Amino acid sequence: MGRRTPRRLLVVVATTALLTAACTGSDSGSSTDSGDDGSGAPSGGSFSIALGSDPSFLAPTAQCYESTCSQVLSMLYTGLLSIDPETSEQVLGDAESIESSDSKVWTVKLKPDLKFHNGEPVDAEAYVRAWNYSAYGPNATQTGFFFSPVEGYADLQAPASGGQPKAQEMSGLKVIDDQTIEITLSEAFSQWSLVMSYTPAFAPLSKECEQDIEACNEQPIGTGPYMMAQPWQHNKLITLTKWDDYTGPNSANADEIEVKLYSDPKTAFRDWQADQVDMLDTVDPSQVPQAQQLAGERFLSVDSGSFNYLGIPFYVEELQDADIRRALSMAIDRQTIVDQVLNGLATPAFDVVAPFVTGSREDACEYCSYDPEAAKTLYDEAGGIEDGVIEIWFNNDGGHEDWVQAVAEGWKNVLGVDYELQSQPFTPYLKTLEEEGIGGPYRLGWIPDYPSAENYLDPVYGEGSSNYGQWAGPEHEAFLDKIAEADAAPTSEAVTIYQEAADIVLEELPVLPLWYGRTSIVYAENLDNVTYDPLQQIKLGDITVS
Amino acid sequence: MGRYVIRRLLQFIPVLLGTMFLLHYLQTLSIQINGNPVTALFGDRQPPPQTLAAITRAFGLDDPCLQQTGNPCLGMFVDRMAGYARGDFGIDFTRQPITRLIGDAAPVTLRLTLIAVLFESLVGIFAGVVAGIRKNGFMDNFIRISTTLVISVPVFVLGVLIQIGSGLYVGVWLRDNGAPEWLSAAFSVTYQVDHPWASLFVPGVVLGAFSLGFIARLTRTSLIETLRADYVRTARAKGLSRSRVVGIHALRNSLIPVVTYIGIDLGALMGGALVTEGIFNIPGIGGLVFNSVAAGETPVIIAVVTLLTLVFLLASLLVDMLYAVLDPRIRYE
Repeated sequence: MGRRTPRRLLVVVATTALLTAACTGSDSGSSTDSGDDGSGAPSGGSFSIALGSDPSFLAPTAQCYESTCSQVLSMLYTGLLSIDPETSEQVLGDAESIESSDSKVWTVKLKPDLKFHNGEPVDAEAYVRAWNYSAYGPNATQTGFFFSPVEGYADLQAPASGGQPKAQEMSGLKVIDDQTIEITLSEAFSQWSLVMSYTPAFAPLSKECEQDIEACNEQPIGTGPYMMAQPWQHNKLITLTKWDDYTGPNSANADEIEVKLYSDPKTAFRDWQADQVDMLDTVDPSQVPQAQQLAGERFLSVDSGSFNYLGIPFYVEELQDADIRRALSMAIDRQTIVDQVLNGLATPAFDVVAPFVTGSREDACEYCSYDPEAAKTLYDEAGGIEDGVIEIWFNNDGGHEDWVQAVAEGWKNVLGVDYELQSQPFTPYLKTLEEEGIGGPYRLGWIPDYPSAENYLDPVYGEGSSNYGQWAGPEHEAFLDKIAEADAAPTSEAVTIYQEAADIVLEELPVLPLWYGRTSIVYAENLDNVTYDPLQQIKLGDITVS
Repeated sequence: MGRYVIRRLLQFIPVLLGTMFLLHYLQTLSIQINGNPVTALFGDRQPPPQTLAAITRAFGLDDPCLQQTGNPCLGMFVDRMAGYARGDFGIDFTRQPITRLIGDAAPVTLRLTLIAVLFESLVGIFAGVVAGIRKNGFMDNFIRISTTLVISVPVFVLGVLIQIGSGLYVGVWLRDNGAPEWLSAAFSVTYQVDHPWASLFVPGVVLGAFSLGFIARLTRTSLIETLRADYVRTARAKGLSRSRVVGIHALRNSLIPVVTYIGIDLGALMGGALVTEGIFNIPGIGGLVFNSVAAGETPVIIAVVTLLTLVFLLASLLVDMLYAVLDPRIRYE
């Protein structure tokens, strides 16, 4: 599994432990390259972190839609704002204020005198330049669609018949003065300020970078507390150096961070054992027990924000009965599977919104508790599945076999239904989903772009999104109405309405919620203050070296 | 000799064209059957159709022939060849020029291959000679058993074992005891950017270990046979010293099958370093091919595999020419 992990592709790397249990005894003492500024100094020093793949892009930032590049970019850019995962409060970065009276016209005021690493001003122009570049169809950026709510977005897309787009700039973006941007959306959208917290999609673009994007990709010109003094050594190393002129709010404790790029997290772990790298962003599931034993308190298991589920294809007749879906859901022993199959690296789901997001509830899902008797009764009353065989679909290149098997065995024992496992590699799997060729519940997962309940609902069950199962009907209409109502509501009231929309999902079960993902981190003894945020990932700037 | 080489070089052209077309066809078939590889860039999300269309177009995967299973997409092949003629090898999904990707990866793999070939030939031939001159003696049996062991252990097991032993024990011990940096780098767990030669030593040994076994046994068999030849008996009868008879007269002729094997192995090592490169996190050609296959990066696969084919062809040409050097009876005209 050497390939970089797309932001949404929940790769639980295959668990082939190769004799790694044999190696113990290396103590992860202090790093040889740490600064020597004495006892427990809060800043200074340097450390290294291992990332599991080469980032896809560093410039244009709008091409960054996976976890490795966003980990690096969160150090190179401040971002307009971020969201504190503990309190769900907005923390302003480059923005001084973000306001809207009607959720349709948004005014972003920037802090004065912000600079890029090359000295160019970070002004309204720099932001609008980046956003128009990103949204412009022929630039083919991966996150350009983030701007689809903005007025005039459609004019920047090439017509399906071919030819050039009508416009190069979105009519909804206005530069009022150096520090003020006015964003007009085509419809009111209460969550827009949260959308803007996904920094790679909304980062500003310097003139120098616009003129030579390729050079900028090798050595980005950012705005954040760290800069790249040397170009990116692909598949090897990225060196982040503290930028002395930084005036923004993000912390930068270490003077230098070496980002070592690996193709396999198992190799990175052995390097960590040998003290060649101070920190891992992911521990391979097969090495988790060993990591726990070696690192003790320096092993962290944190919420990754992902939501894993089994989707229901509504075009399969026998799954159209809601009671069958409820019975299937109640017959999954989530806690046991999490503990015994997933090494505890997940949290059973009781909502369709992950816990770190405002509006997530601990007991929202009536049918997510394991209740074999109720499940059997409901299943029999609903008439069961006609031929007594249920198909379960998953992609076979993500280490999913074990838990899918466990779910299937559960159904067999509780409901007395035989199962058939169907798997494909990821690309053809997506094609089968697309072509509605799936014959039973299918595995998928979701990692949010921004911390809003809306981001767990509309993209997964809404129209023209990942609603691969083709959920439709009056309940789906009611769901869409709720989403539209919440989108238009003032931000403060939106959360309750999104919860009502989530209730429809949890009652109808167009997907069977399984668990929220967790990810694990290990680090060396000389590091402290290691924290993780599902959106910004590891907060490298906060880490102190002693 | 010159004309022979030119004729051989001209024969490369149809082979390379055929290889490229075959790869091209396999890849178009894969896209036709498996679907658009761009969708996988978005993971579990279904990208908005406009975004998908724009990115697909940017990578030149919007040709309608990719929707028709079995269509060889000759138009795309001609475009690609025209690009190659201009020196344009295309870009990968992260928009890196492929020439750059190969330029970055090839020197690393070349260094690794060189270390492996040197190790396997020097140690392998030496072991083969030792075993051959004392047939069925202690050394012969010892070498037979140890090479059988090395050949029978899969490279990913051997690699991980050696990595743990050398990296986690020897390397850490050396560092703790103040060994010079290059020495502890030679026993590091993974490839180190600052020590591009030293840190490839252990991976090179792992990579060469498998072939070492073969080379030792080939040398042994071939040497035993040659030592029975008439001219060797004549040489002995002339009163030449034992080392001269074995080292100059017999060994040189025995090396022909060995050189053939090393030549073929050169190509295999370039591409087959995949597992070793993966274990030791070496950013070489093997990793490039592996990642490209996983992501369906057609242009990268075609460019790299064509390059590997060229390496194979050149290596076999080199082997044929070495025959003439080793055996004076062989002449090319």
